[in-house]
Amino acid sequence: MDDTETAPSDAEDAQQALERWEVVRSVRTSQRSPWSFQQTLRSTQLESSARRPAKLLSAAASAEIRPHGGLPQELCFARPFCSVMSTALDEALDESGTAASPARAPTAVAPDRRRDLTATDAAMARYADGDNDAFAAVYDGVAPALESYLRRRVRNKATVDDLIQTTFLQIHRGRAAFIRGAPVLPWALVIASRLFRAGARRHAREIPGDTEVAAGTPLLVAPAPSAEESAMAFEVSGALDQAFARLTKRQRAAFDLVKGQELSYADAARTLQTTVTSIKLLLHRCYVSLRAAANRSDDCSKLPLGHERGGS
Amino acid sequence: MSQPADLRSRVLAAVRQEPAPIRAEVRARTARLLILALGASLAVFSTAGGARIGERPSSLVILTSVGAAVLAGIAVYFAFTRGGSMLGRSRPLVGFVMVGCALGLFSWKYGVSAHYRGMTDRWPSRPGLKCFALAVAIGLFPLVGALVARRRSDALAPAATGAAFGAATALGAAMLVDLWCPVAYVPHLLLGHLLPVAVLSAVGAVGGRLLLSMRR
Repeated sequence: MDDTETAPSDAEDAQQALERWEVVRSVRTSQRSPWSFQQTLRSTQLESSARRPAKLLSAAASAEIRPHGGLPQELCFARPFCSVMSTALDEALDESGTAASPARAPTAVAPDRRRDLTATDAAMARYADGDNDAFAAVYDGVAPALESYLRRRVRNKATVDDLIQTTFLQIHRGRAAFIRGAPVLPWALVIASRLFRAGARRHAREIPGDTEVAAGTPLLVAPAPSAEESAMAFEVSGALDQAFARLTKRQRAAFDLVKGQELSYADAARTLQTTVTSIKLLLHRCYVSLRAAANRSDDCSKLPLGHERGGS
Repeated sequence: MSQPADLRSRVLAAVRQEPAPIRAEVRARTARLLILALGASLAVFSTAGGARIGERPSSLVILTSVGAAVLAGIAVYFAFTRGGSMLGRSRPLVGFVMVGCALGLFSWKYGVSAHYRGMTDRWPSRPGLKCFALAVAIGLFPLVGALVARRRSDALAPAATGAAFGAATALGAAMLVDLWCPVAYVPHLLLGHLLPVAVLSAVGAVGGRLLLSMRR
């Protein structure tokens, strides 16, 4: 299979997001109050950040600054809702399974998607009966949703792949228990969710980013920030971006050379054809502007801004 | 970083390398286990003396046994079927049914016996320990059989599923114990007929956590 066929594009992500929102809306408007929504999240423990409404909102905010948001520019307004959509989809899928009404969640999904899911369920039933060739169809039907689900929780691509492979192995091992006519996707998502949680418990904290760490190497990274910290950092970084844009061209250039390119004051001065004193003055004005912007946006006294390096 | 095509081929290759039983094989194995477990339970029951009508009116025996059988049937249905979903039935619903059946068994046995003279009288020599031991011994075999037959199949709540298995098998055992025990004295019922449900539920929860979960 070609990479371009399987790699989830922004448009596909957006389409999935909209489909998920349809599911969420149908569930929430039909029978669920916001508080029962919270209760379900709490009882199923599918989203630990949903323990309080404030946490849920913070999780939504943190979803916006996640590097793999995946939505195209024209749908950026939907980003803050991605986390809420995700947790609500969990709820919808969980309801579809535990409340013995498997057809409830997919009813709001587009007809083509529903047909695909039905075909996948049928393929899984054939696979449970011993038709080994049907597993490829099961994979093709479930893997995109599984990857989308896991990528919202795990940023490390290798970990996502590992979880997907283990999930399919669990499905394979448990194929004999598959109920004919039952939807396979909620089952797969629950297995993946459990595996993710088990892995998270084992490792306590995930390594941020696609960092490759050799076995036995001590972790020297800071712990992952909480949703509140992420939201606060996002707010402060926005204010800093605006303040940075208001700097003069030479101030930005000096800042970029010294802080971005890590040149010495002397090298930066040579590059800008000025003196070291002038570079220090430009940087000082940069720091003052940025610090003022950060202080205005929030209490950011903890941010390590503008500590001047000793020049050489 | 692996590419999706690589992942797909990797998953398909891993699945090809690992044999997994198909539905027909598991169904046959489950049937064998079920027959074996029920046979063992009936053997225990026969060893203990089998059905003992004694001085009980036959109508009382029929009424209590039929009631116990109905309640056990309901419990078994809700515990062992999954309602068309791979995630099983709603746990609160199953829990409610199990508790309701256990309390229903107690109420039915006492309520029906109360209509017969002397059937609910105090019986100091029968505190209920024998009934307790017999119920646990009868219910343990089907419980183990069910846990083994369904091993590594519950992705959501293996402990809760195991507890439901335990409660259902205990209620099934209570049906046989009812044929054996003429006592309907309340403390006896609580110790000998109701406590086994709680004990086997606890055993089932532990066994379910160990056997039913889809571990990595």
